[in-house]
Amino acid sequence: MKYLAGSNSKSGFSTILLCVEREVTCVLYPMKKSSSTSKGLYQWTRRLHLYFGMFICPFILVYAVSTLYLNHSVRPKPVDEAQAPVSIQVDHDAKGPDLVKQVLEQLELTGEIVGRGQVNNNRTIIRVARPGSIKVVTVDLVEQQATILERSNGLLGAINYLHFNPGLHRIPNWGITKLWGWLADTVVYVTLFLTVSGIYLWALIKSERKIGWILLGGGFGSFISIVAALVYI
Amino acid sequence: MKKNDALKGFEKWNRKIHIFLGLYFLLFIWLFSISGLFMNHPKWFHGKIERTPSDKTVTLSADMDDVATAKDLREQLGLEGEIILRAQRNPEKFAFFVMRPNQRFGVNVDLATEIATVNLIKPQPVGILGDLHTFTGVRGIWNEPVQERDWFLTRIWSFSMDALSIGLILIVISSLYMGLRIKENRRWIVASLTLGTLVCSFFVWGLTLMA
Repeated sequence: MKYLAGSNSKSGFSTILLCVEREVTCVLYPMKKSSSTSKGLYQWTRRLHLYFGMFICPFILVYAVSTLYLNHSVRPKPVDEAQAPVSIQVDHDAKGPDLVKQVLEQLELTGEIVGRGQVNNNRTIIRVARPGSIKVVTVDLVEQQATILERSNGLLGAINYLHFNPGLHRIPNWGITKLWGWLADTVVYVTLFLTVSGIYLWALIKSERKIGWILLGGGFGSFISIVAALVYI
Repeated sequence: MKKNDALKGFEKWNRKIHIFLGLYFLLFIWLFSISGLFMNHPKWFHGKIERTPSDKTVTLSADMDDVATAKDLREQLGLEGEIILRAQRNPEKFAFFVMRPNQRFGVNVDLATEIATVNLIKPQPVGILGDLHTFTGVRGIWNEPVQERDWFLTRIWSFSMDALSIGLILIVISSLYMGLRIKENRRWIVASLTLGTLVCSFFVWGLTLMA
């Protein structure tokens, strides 16, 4: 039996050629990672960290800035603008989602709809929300009139709205909110990737290793102690 | 020469800040990311909420305002957590909540008999994630006439949220500086940033402008 060692530069793994009598079998054994594999992994991780990081920068800013406002219960000052009543034609016995659909189609309004078309005293109120603004539509079923009040919440209102949506207790009914929901999910997955790839990239920097471990330990320590106190004290 | 040194020093520290903040806030980022994901999918929160009622006798002081009364009762009942005190609806009762991420206590005191009914409400384990995500002590949804953080741990957690937000803003700024200084593959870097900015701007400004 003879062992012949050779290398396969394309795969980056060392190879052993195993010869057993007349049969020759070539087996790939991952003996030791060559520098080209590590280099390739490093380069791809770095590139993806960079590109994905650049893509989600604006999203992270939206979440971080809105957190500061929400954490201090700073609410936007709404500016209301009432529009003149508009004549509409809806069925007198319409109610629920059918009524909402009839009204919004005639007014050509789209957005996240709040309100199920409940009728009280021949009136129904439907709210149509978008980031930064909300339209409150009051429908008088007897007069067949709709009054629209537009409430603008500005940039702060827009980022707070995006922070909350889709959110707990809300099932989105507008395609755009669903799209934002998918994007928000993507931001989470990308963030998780960035943290893991970031650790990998940091681990390769020898000069930052000691202080890095201290900060990592400090972060873990403070996080665990605060959460444990919140839950167990 | 000096200007060059200053720039190099700035770049070195910019990079260090990016790495160090990321490492320090790692678990905080994981918590808020994963809890945010769960909150985006309400169906993932399932399970039974446990409720355990119990009665205890308390002593009510006459010359206290509502906030002070709630704090006093929280101490008498040996409860720990943030007080949520809404406007009182029943003149014969005094009601408030004491909340912490893994449990909340609904306290309802009969003013005539001075008997407090304490309802211990335990959310499902995954609900704790949602509570940690939103535990600011001053949520608008609670409709408290007086909004204040009255539990020291709420103040610490709220401070952590501020620190994380500021940390993330610094991480973003440092990454923008580093990313845009890199010459290699610049077009991909600029393309990623432009795409992210356009998509985000569409949601922040575009939808209102298009309405």
